[in-house]
Amino acid sequence: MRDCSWLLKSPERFANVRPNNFECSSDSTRDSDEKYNCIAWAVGKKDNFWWPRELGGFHWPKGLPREPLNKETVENFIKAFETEDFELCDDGEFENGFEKVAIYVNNFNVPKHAARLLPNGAWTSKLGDDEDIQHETLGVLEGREYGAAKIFLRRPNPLCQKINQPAT
Amino acid sequence: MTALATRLLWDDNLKISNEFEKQDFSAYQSYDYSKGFERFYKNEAAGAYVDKNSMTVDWKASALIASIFFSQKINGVVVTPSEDIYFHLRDLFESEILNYPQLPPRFIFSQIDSRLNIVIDELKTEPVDKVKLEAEFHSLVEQWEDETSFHSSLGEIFTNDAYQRIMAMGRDALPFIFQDLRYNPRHWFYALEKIVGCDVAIGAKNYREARAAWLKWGFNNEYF
Repeated sequence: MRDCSWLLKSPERFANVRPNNFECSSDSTRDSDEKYNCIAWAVGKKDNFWWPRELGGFHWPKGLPREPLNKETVENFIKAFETEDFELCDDGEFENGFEKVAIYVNNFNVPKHAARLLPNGAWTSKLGDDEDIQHETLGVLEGREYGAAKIFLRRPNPLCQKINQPAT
Repeated sequence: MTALATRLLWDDNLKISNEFEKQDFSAYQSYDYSKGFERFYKNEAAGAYVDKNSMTVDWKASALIASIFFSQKINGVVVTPSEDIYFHLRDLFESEILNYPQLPPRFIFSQIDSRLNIVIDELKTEPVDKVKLEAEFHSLVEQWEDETSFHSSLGEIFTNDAYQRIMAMGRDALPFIFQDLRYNPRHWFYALEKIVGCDVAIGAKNYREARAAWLKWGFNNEYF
């Protein structure tokens, strides 16, 4: 069901959310067993739930470490994004020809969320098992639950690459 | 770490007390989840107060935590109340040495890490009231979902207080978990792994495959 009104009902959790700075862009996956999360969504995938945990049913790129709960590291997440052709960059400003993601970390620098920059300048986030939303800025989701967006990565926009590929 | 013999008690108000058998030292712990606090007492009159709501990370109460904390103190490690309690508790929870909170009147000791050499007396659990337990389970599921459904972090999802309390029910929770998993694709795999003692879905490529593996296991073991 597509209903993100719960975000507005949780000011203690998402203090920066306002009716005019986000919109619901998908149904919740609470009732679906085709689960994906914000990390998968940030790299443009919907076929798995990404997290560095050795537990059947969850995905993390091969060769990267699995980590204790709540002790996940930014370095591991950066490496995971690198497997999808991302590289570190300075900020979340839109750059022609690039797709960007931001990793939110808490006060202990533990990753809690990720969002992807859209060509229209808004960000898209999958909220756990709840809906995908588009939010005006990264700050909309910053706060108690997700921490702050501090790590930025970019990759050549896959769509642009397809356009630029020579015809075979 | 030197082995430390403890005697675990609980009082009529379901507050856990943890009294240490040491000649010149005693320590007590109690908590009340409904009010969100946990207290550590050097003696009954004066103690360190830990306000759960002031923590930036979730943590769970455990009499064992107090055992470890105070055993350090006993062994000569200088520990400053409050600040170091936070630090120490957080480290313990996040290191996953202790996954289960101890909730009256139930106690689960399967997570005791032998490296800590903590000696705990055997405790008997109260007879289980299944109707009451099922109602508690559903209430905790609702709380867990409300508090974590928007999280992608398995740390947030699995160390949630309500989720940990369900895990603390142990095998008594399995029929309820499997019944729920059958109709609702929730994140039960961690609890199942910890309660059952193995990951029967290991190698599953995605949620759907893992769910199918666990439901098959639950069916074969007559949990629904």
